[in-house]
Amino acid sequence: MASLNNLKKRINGVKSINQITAAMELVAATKMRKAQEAALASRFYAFDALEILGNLTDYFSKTGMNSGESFFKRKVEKTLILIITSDKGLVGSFNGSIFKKVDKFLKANAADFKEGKFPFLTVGQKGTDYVKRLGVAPLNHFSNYGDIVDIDEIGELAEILGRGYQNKSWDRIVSFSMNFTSALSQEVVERQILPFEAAQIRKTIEEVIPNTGRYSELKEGITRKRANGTLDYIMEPSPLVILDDLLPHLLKIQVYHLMLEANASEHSSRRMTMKNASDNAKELTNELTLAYNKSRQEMITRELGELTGTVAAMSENV
Amino acid sequence: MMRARIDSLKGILFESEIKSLTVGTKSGEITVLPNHRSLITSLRPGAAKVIDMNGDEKYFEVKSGFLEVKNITNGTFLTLLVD
Repeated sequence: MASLNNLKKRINGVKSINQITAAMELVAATKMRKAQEAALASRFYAFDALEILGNLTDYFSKTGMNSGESFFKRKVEKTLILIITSDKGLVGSFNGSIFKKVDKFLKANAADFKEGKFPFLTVGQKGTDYVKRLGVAPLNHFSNYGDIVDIDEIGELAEILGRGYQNKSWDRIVSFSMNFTSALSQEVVERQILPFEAAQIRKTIEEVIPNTGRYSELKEGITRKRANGTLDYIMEPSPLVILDDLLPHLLKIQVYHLMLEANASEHSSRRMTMKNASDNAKELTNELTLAYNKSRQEMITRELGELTGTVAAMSENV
Repeated sequence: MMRARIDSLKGILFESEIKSLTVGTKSGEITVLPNHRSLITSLRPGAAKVIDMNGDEKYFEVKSGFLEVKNITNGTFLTLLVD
């Protein structure tokens, strides 16, 4: 039987942990909403940019003009692997499931991995640690983006990705990150960021809107078709210049959306983890309180027994 | 009728019917009036000036971006993407 004082201490300890985890759960829920809202606010811009890309591609295919190849498919020698994780822990299986997916990918391409055809770039401290455990130094790593990434902070990352592609340091970029489908479920997705495929970008942007729950009603409005494909546009200064300007923007939009999705997933994952922790703490409090009451009762019974025993002994003696 | 919408990654900055839009493009400053021909162009850093239906001027910062003008039967539609 544990001493009453000890039990009391443990109950208080568990209770204060419960308070902390409950607070963290609330905070994470708010942050998740904010990340979702930021992603949703950018969707008009993203879809309009895609529409312009669509018009440009139409133009190139109609005139048969060479659209250049700065951001388009070529033979793949090196593939940059972009891993987007969180800086901090206490997020349940959030980072672990990303690493599992990367492990699987590396196992499937073990020969290429050994030959060093996979440079790594990581976002988030946990991802950096993971890559180092693999025995590789990431080319570059970013962290401290905060709870919700700001578009101005993305610039450098997007530029490194684009520049490396243009000067042929890598020929493909594959990202591993968490996709936010709803507040309760997230999944790890492997996405090709470069070379561009309009369909892929469209998908990334559409995925910003969750399938169920709050905001899912927006899905209808955004998946509208392009209606003006046949307009006769003037392109100034020239279609090629516009394309060259547009592609880095599209890259930035894509990276921005990936990050926001990851942010929303991180916060919702943390929320779930904290909710579980609070539930466990509550259960533990109940168990401990039960044990506390039991031993208290036992003590009282024992004392009563001693008391009556003593009284009986005393009255016999008289 | 001419409507304009100014989009940024942080959301829609402006959306309304307007009289004119003046903006610096890579091939020079242009002013778009109703019935302008359909156009796609790339923007230069500077300010975009919008004159709304009351004749008031509004300015928006442009670091880089694009302007799309759609001239279709029911009006002229401008979409400005700015960073």
